[in-house]
Amino acid sequence: MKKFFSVALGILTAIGGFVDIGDLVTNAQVGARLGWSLGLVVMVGVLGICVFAEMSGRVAAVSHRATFDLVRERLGPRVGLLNLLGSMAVTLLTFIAEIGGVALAIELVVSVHYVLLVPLVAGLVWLILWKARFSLMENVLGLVGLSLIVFVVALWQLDPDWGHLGSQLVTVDKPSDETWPVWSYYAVALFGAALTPYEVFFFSSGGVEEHWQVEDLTTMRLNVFIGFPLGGLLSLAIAGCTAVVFGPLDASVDTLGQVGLPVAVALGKLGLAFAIIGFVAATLGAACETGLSTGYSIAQYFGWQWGKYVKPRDASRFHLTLIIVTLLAMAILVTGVDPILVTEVSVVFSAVALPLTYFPILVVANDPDYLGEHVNGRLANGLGMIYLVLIGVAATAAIPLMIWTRMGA
Amino acid sequence: MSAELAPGRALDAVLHLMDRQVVDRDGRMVCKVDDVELTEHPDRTWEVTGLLAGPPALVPRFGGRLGRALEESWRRLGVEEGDRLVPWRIPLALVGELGSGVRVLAARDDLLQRQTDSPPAPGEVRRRLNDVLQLEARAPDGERLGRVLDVRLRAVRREPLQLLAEGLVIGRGRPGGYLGYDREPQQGPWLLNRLVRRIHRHSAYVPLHDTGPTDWEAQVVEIRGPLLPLDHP
Repeated sequence: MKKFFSVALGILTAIGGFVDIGDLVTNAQVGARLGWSLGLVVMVGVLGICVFAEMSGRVAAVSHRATFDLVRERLGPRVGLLNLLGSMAVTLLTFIAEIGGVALAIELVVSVHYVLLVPLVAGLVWLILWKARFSLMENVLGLVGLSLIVFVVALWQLDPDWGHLGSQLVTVDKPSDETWPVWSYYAVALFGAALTPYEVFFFSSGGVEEHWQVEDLTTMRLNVFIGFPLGGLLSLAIAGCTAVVFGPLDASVDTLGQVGLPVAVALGKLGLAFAIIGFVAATLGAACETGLSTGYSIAQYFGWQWGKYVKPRDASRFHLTLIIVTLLAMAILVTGVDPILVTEVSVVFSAVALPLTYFPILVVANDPDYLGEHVNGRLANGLGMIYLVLIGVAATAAIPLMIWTRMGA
Repeated sequence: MSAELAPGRALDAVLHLMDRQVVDRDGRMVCKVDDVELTEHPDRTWEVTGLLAGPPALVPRFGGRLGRALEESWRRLGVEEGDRLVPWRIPLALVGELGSGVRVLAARDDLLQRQTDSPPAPGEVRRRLNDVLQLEARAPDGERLGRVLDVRLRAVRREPLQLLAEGLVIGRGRPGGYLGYDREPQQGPWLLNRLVRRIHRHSAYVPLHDTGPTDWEAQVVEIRGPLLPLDHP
């Protein structure tokens, strides 16, 4: 029974923790402009994160090594450092976006300008990173994040033309008023949002934090293969909601308030309250995860003690890194830069950085020196290779598409 | 995976030791294996005698102009310190287990000492693995055979651990040398394996007794014996 609860808890937190500011904003924007015509991309992206999270989780459970250990061991110090700089830049960008997202979500309730809230939010994030137990942080924010299910209820209440949405979902097509480059740009952005590199840094390091062993592989796989797709369903629901409300108006989504608007339309104040609680939990959870991921990556490259399973004083360089990145994120946000814009940029650069992370994971997941009998099977390798190609295409196309479409304008 | 370090087991220094995480006896993380100390005995046998850590060990591995620039920057940030460019060292005798990480038998507090604090015995010369990896392999007639890519080691004793060098992996030094595919025909994914093995098709193994004298100034090692096919250690 205890086992059942731990599996259920893991799945629920995986659902609640799946969506972050990148998913919220990108899915809402895509829904408003393109309906569900990129639904297939969301599903492909979700399967991709499942495949690679499973590999990195398996490596963590069997060899107790997290992703950036592998990056340096398999790419060498030179390419590893380049990789560190690239991944750090993207993760830091995501971290900034998440903290901004928390502030924007709170602004919706208290009507205080988000810039004033940023120092408070940054302080809160740091306090969680310093004080909270790893499992507590994961479980509380993951479970509260489940209130984003309100988007599924709202979509159902909005009673959309399911036939139309369904046909958009299964066909590769676009609404006639949008161009293919814009469609491709958002496809890459959605792919980047679904596969954000920090997710595997965090997932594998979290496995080491929670002392996963070979026996935990089944639990880990259930979390990944049930939790993540259900989290992906939330993404689709958000896109569906904005498709119904904004689609006919030809309006675009530029604020977090507009992301939540369809819920208010469908379910009124109470629904909106759930949505905002969900925004806060999802972005706060992701802020903690991205913040930790920057510390994990640097510490794992240089070999410092990292992790919340030891006291802060036993991992002093790691915690110092967390303090510095939190201050840095705060400093950038108080300049008044639009967090939504930072989010849009971060998902595109995530797409660019994808191969840096996923290639070494695929290689090590095949290495018997690390994994013994638990190396990848044919299915994992087949999917891994297909995704390596997809990731390569997305990474190459991301910046040209961004320039060509002027960020989807 | 905690690999047994039974006497007789062979491993490749770059593939299985370099860049690994060092943890102490309580499982706390200490540092990375930024470089490996190789001692050349008077009888020309090579032995791993320590693990090196810290920027003075790591930075030269970046190689070329970047490596020199970073090393100079590191020195300039502490010109007062006489041992600024001396790496930290962990004697190999303290290493208990070699798996996905390197476990040492002591606690991490005060574990790292400067390499110069324990000088080598008379007649012994210390090198770094990275210096060996700069060597060019040449046939006695001067034909270029490639670069040294790795050093194969054999554990000859377990407590305390003793690792002797046994041979050199040489090849063209193309990208993907750390991935391990050149030594493992079965490691998947199949397509990646074929591709990397194709890039590294010139890689070969030479036992140490088939090598001639090493010219450290010119960075050349002479290969006298035949090149053997490369397999998993």
